[in-house]
Amino acid sequence: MRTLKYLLTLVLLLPLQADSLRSGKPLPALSLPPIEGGAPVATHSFLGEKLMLHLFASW
Amino acid sequence: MPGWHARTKDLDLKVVGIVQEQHPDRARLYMQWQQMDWPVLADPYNELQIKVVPITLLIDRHGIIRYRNPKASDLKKFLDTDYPERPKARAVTPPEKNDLRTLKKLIKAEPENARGHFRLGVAYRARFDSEAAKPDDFALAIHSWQQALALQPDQYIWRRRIQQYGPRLDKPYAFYDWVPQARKDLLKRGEKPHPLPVEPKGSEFADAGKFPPRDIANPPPTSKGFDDDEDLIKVSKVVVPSTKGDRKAVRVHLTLTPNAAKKVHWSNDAGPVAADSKIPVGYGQKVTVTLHDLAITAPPKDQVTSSEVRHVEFELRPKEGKILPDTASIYLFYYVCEDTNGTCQYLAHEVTFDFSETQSPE
Repeated sequence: MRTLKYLLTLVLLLPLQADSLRSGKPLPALSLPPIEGGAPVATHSFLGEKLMLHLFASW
Repeated sequence: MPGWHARTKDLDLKVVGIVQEQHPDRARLYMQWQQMDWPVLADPYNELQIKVVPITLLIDRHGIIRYRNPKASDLKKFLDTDYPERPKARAVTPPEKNDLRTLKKLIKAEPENARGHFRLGVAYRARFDSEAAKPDDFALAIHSWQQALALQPDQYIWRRRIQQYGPRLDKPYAFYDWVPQARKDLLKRGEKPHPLPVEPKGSEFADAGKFPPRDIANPPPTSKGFDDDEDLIKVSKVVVPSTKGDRKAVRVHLTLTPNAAKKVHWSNDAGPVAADSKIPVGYGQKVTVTLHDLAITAPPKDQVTSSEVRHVEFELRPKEGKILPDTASIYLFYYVCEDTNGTCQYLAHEVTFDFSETQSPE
């Protein structure tokens, strides 16, 4: 029963957590342009201090 | 997010954003409006490969994600904890090429590559918004996004990209309804709003009131015989069905291009282009759809004639209680002239639709 519950929770959580951005995982190292234009900036250039990262859209 | 901003602006914490939008410059206006000054990067191709927004992450100084969508108490714990360095913490993702040629090749080799289809759609739409635009770019963008969503229906960021241009009834958000208010507030504050290279319009507002329909300046022709048989105006269409998989509405985006070979130009005295689902006398078809939310490019001010590309956008809905029929027509009416001193005519242009094959991503 406990296993079933565990599996069910896992199945329910999977679609929401299907990307790699989970606790314990590293931040992907991407280079993306700033919204004001200009040369791409590496996501890792923000490391070295504690970081809050908002993934969003203005809509 | 503005809530987090108020709570974190005085803390010893770096705040950064990444936006998932086709036009990331709109987020720049949003940031200005909300007075949020942290750096924001643009990810229109969804290289982060996330399926939803918003997501907030707390990341330690070595690059390890510690919390996803934290509560206020998690933030306190995060700030109070000294996280040890971990070897191999920095996963390296090779940069992706998002040019049309690379993406077309990718799809040819891997027709089931859902992300490839999505990225191809973003690239087509980006070219559509550039000076290098080709007439089919927007249609190809929508088609690519539909392919992507059909392969991966739980991808909500991709779904939003279609909904942005889709029927009003298929909008889970207000999309860009905030833009007029943001500009008003910024001007009141004495700030110059950041310009938007691609102005949001029509379907990109959830509230139809933001884009009031225009009056039809001329009565439609009263009988057959006024058709634009020679295609003095070329009409290309993009039809965006609902992502819900019903046939209750489609959003139609038409691009009207004056025939350059015949030196066609608009006669602006007659007002803007008109569009109607009512059928002129003599066409012998039944009215099976209704036209809503009509938005039409206005003629340039103070120019008697001009030959620019114009856009007509509207929604087609079935008659009450029905679904969209297999086929339907609407009519465009415009006053155009051939050559510099050529004849000017008021013409009707039938645009036909086939909904029998309307494929929805679900």
